[in-house]
Amino acid sequence: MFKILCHSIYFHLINYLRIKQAVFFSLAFPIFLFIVFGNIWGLNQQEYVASLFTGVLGMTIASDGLFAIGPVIREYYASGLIKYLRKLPMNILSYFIGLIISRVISLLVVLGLLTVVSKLMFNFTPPSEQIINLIAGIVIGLFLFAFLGLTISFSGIKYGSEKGLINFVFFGVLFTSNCFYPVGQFNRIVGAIGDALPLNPILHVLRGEASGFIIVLWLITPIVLFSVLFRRIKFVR
Amino acid sequence: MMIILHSLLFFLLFMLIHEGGHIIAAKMMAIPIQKVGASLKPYPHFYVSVTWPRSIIQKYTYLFAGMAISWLIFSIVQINDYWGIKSLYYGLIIQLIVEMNPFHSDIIIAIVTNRKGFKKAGLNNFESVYKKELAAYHFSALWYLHFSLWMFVIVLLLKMT
Repeated sequence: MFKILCHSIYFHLINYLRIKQAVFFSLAFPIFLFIVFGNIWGLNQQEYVASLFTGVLGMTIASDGLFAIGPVIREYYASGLIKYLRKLPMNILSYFIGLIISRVISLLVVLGLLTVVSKLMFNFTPPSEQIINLIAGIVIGLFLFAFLGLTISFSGIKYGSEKGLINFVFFGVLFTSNCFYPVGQFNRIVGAIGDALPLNPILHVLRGEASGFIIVLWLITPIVLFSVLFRRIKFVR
Repeated sequence: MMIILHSLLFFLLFMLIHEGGHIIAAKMMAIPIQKVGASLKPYPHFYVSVTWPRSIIQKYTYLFAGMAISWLIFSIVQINDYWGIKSLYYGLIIQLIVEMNPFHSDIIIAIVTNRKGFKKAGLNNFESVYKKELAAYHFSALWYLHFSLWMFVIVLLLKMT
């Protein structure tokens, strides 16, 4: 079982590394944003660099969860590949767990790269006690956004249109969040909207702050919605 | 709010001057201009369309004329130390960042049209060959080098404040 899981993770990692665009947007692009925003507002401001560090990581978690899991699984169903996967001499669950673990590994690599760049450019490294928060944030965030992505992907909207909707959700969540700057300080209403959306609670986890009940709501709602939608959906090819 | 508006106006002005550089270069080298227009894809920008130059010197002179004009303005601003005008600074650095970007810029056109596949196909099916070569170039090792240099320039420009 463990060997199969390892092979499944390896397969998904190889698959991911072969999509150059995916590698760029999940590895290079967050580092790019960290360097640019860090240079604009973070020089000699360790507090901002610390906030930006978790902000960029939060953004990558949201993007990975929304784009790399839900639409991929929907694609398996829509194209009929799921039937082929079921015929393989392995539990299909190992296949999907492998997909999720490969995304966690990718996010841990982003975390490592961010730490190195942060040390080299801004002389900042997250304190050791924050590591647990960062890993917990990655796992919880990926779980939350993956189910959100799955819910949107399986919501029954026209095939292909779900990517537009996911983009809308992603940018809506990103621009109302405290990823790059505390939005609430500029506009209270936008700040309140951001606090009600799922990214700010994940940022609280990453930053070791109290995230309140809203995170529980966001963890439960997409799972319930997804399980309802999944039973009702029919794929016609 | 006014500084944002003024910066956008300066940016618009520099975009037009950039295209003016292409037009001057095309006129000087007697390259027929087909169209001067604006496009929304992949991001809002102005463009000058010409009959594709046959000689390499003409091609590069035409392609880099716009950027040369922008850097000339940058040099003038730098020499005279006009950086106190914040909107001018923002407008100019946005223009320089946009025109050197590794996704869609004159540098990209120069690199892609210099690729083997493009040279092999000649000027037949220009658009489809260009798209194919562009896709092959994006996210390649050379592209990452371009991206890194672009990032370096952005940091340098931002540090000027």
